[in-house]
Amino acid sequence: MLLYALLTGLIFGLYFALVGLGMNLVFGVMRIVNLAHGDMLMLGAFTAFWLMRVAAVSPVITVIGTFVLFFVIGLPVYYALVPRLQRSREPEMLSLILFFGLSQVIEAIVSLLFGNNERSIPSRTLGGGPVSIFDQTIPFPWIYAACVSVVIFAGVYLYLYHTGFGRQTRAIMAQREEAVTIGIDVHRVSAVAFGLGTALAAVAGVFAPFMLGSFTPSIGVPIDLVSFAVVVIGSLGNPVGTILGGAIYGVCLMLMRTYFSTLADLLPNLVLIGVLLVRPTGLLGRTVRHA
Amino acid sequence: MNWVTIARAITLALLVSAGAAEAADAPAEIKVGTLYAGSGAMASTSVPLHVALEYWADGLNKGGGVFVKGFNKKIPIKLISYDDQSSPALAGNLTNQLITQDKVDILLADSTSVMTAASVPVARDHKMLLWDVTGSSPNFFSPDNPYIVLLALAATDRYPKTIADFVKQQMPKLGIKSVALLYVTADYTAFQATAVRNALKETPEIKVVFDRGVPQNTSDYTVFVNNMLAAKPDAVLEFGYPANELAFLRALNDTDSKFKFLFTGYGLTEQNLIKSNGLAEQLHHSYALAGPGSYEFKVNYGLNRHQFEEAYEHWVTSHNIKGVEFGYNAIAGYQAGLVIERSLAVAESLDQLELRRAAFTLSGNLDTLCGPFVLAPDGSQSGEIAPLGQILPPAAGSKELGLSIVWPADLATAKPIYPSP
Repeated sequence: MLLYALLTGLIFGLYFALVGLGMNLVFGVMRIVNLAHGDMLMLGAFTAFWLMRVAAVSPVITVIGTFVLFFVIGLPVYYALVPRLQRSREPEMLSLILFFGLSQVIEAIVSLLFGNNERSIPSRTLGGGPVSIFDQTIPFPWIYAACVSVVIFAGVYLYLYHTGFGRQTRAIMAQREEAVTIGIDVHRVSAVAFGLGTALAAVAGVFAPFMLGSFTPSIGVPIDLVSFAVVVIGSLGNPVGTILGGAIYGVCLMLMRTYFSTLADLLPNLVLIGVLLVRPTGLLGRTVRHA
Repeated sequence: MNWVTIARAITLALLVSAGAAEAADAPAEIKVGTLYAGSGAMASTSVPLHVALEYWADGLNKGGGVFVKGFNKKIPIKLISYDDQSSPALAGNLTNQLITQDKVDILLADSTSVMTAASVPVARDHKMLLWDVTGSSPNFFSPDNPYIVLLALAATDRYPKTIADFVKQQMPKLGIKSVALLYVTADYTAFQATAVRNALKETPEIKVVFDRGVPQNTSDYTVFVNNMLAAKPDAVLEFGYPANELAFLRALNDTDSKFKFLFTGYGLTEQNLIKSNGLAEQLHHSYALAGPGSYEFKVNYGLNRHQFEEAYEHWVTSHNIKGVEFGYNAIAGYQAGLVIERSLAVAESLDQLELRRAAFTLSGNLDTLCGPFVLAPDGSQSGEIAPLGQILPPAAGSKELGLSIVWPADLATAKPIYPSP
């Protein structure tokens, strides 16, 4: 049981890291908390449901198509909301309210249009039966989702560390004012980062029916809570920390389900409180010296 | 004019004024207040029920309204509904609003014990009778609280009677020696698990090898399925809400796991939902309580199941309502309406305790789509207990799953197939 919990915890951890990565990227670049992140994931799940289950589109095309579609959707959303938000006195605080409102609107519209019933996609849609690893039976979609997560982490790493746009993104994450001073087009770079964050959430949504059992228009808020826990464990604004945060969260969740299942619900809150008490900057956060 | 004529004139005047007063007292509409979860975890349970209430109210209004004995006339119904978003805290506030602001005549709770729990104390404080549709937790009912009646589901400590009896009387005969229990920790499912656990304690031949509670929002059961497989039980009994059932069956599907005996709480009640999620195969040879969604109880008032299903589907389609499946919750909503309708037909007034008395006159006399309507003195439901069914694969040439009733013995149509092939 312990080996199974650890193994599936790591697999789930990779997926949870993918869930939180977009939220952290957006926070790192724009210093805003996107509470509509979970709803973008939910919309990604709906997209996958229609493409894979109804139209029988292949999973690879679904992942790529969803990524491109939501990247494009993210750009106008950025220009409509974020620059105005950042001109306000308290962008971080106001972002919570604005994006929570957006989250509620998205959930309400989707509920009205498509109803509240649970939806799922048969696991064989991804093309395989259970896989045996170290004598433990693991559903194939979990392996698939974990592998796609790793590919995406690699892609985000390459983007951030080996492209000009990525270097500009990191410059803004490190010191926004200085980035403006040296002539970086902050809005253009931020828009791309926002589009990327939206697309990453939607791709995580493609795998939500397989990882979460089923989905409804209401999964946004619980997903936000998980994303937030994962991001805070790793450290806000540090995308690499998200992977560590996801792994820790995933393993803790599976251990809780195995040994203290009744209390598994409390995990995000317990982890959040624990990290904030012991290391408020997150595990990979830098200590800030106040003069 | 002699004194007799004067007395006649006075008597006539009094009679006329009494008639006028009665007409004036009759309200222009009967306000029926209800909550429903338009979003959140309870939405898939609550929305079909609320849609059925709308269907019921609309049907009555087309015929001029509901007959109220106290006013000896038909009065239109006004359904006042608020969306509690699956939040018990909000449900409590909205219940208060229905009572104090909207001044409803009839107060209905949202579906499920989780949501009903918020309305029970508010209704009691305001001395309003709570027409509890499916909130079956025994905690809601006590001899000192006359302000609640349970309409469409046996109280949770009585509902699993058939499976508890089956555990005691049939499982040892089938050769079942070990059992795994997996349940959601919410009232409704935890009480059912407790009833079965108590039955197991009285059956020394059977050992409990796995007994776990999980939070209601658990969406992945793979770890639990894996842990149960490690415990090697002869029988698995799982109690959850519809979303949990989907996740549980999905975990069985994803891991290619099968148990020799599997009981699920909603395997029959929400079969359409399970089918629409492509998990029907996981139900083959499993057991579930055959509630009104799958078992036809004979009725003595209102539509029978087939007629209601047809009318409900037509209503859903014609009103362009998305994602609502016909099932137990739809039946529960319709039945709640019928019980209210019949109670108003015998109630002398809209006084809340008189309404309760009226509801009790139906006890033992009303056969509903959920079974015989029988109220216990504390307002909980003692009738409407479902038989135990075994779900069978579709017969050759059919796409519909089959069903055998296996317990109780007087209703049984077949013997249980054990172990599951």
